[in-house]
Amino acid sequence: MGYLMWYSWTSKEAFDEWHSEAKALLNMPLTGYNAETGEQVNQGMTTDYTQAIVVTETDVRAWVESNLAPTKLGLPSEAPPQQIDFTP
Amino acid sequence: MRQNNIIGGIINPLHLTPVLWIDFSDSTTVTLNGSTISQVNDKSASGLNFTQAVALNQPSYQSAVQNGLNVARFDGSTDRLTRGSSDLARNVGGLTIYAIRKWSSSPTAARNIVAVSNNNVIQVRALLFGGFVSNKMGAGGRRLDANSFGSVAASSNIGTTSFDLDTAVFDYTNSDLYLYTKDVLEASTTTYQTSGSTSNTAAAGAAIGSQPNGLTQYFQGDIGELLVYHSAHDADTRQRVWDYLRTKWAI
Repeated sequence: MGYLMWYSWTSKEAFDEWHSEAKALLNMPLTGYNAETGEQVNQGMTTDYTQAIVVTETDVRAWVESNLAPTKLGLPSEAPPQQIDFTP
Repeated sequence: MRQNNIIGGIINPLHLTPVLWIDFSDSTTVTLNGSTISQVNDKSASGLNFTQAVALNQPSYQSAVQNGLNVARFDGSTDRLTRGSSDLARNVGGLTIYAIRKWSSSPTAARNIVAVSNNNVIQVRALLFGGFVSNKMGAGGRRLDANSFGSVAASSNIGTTSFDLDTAVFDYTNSDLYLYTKDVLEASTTTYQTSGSTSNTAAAGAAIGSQPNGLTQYFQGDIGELLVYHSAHDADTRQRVWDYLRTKWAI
C-alpha cells in the first residue's frame, strides 16, 4: 500500500484516463453488502476510487495512493484550494 | 431495521418524530464496501439516506467501540457521507440536533459532525461542528438563505479520550441558539440571526463529516448516532432524548 496524498494532472482527460486504469485494477464498480447479514444489496454501490477536484482546466487534483497505476499517475501536489463558506 | 430501542422506560426516538435518525450501531442500516461505509439509511420516516460512492471518501465501520456498539470512523482527510436535496431545516421555527461523537484529535480549524445546507450547497443552514473556535464545539448556520453565517462556541475544550453527547437547539422563532454537551449548557445566544422561520427553500445538500458540498471541513473521529428534529426541544423533551442516548451509549 502506498501513501495517501494529493496528486495533480494537467487535464481532466488525463485524470480520467488514470482513474479508469485504477478502477479496473480495483475491479470497480463494487457491490454493497449489508453490514448485519453480509448479503449483497442493491444500494451503496462504490463506483469510483477517488474524486477529481478541478482547480483549473490544466490543474486537476485528487487524493490517491501513491503506488496505484503509476504510469499514468500525476505529480505530487498540494491540497486543492477550498470554497470557504465562512471565516472566523 | 431494528426497533428495539425502548430501554426500560426510555423512549424510542421515533415517538418524537425525528426528521433524521442515523444510527451506526444498527448494522442493518449500514451498507459496506469491504470495511468501509458506502451508505447509511435513515431510520426516521423521512428516508434521508446518506451515501459515499467514492472508495477513498468512505468512513470505516468499527465494531464494538463504545458500550459494545458499532460506530463510523472518519479520517479527517476526505471521509464523509453526503446526500442531495431534501427538506431538512426547511421553513421551520425550530431545529434540534443530537450527536454521539468522539474526536480523535483536537480540532484547530472547523470540522463538521453534521451540516445541512441552504439553497446553495456551499452555505450551511444548520451546522454542528468543532474547531471554528480552536478546540471548542460549536453550532451555527443561517436562518434565511440571504443571512450571514452566525454561530456559538462552547466554553469547555473538546476531549479526545471519550465519547460525548452534543445537542444544538436552534429556536429560530425566538432567535435563540443553545449548545449542550451531555446536559451542560456550553453556549447560548438570544440574538441568533432574526426571529422567524428558516427559508422555505430546499436544502441543496447535507453531509455527515464535512461541509454539505463534501469538499472541506472533514471530521476526524467517531460518530455513533445522529438525531434531528424539526422543533426546538424544551428541557423535558431534551431530557427524554438524552436519557435514551446516554443509556444506550453509556455516556
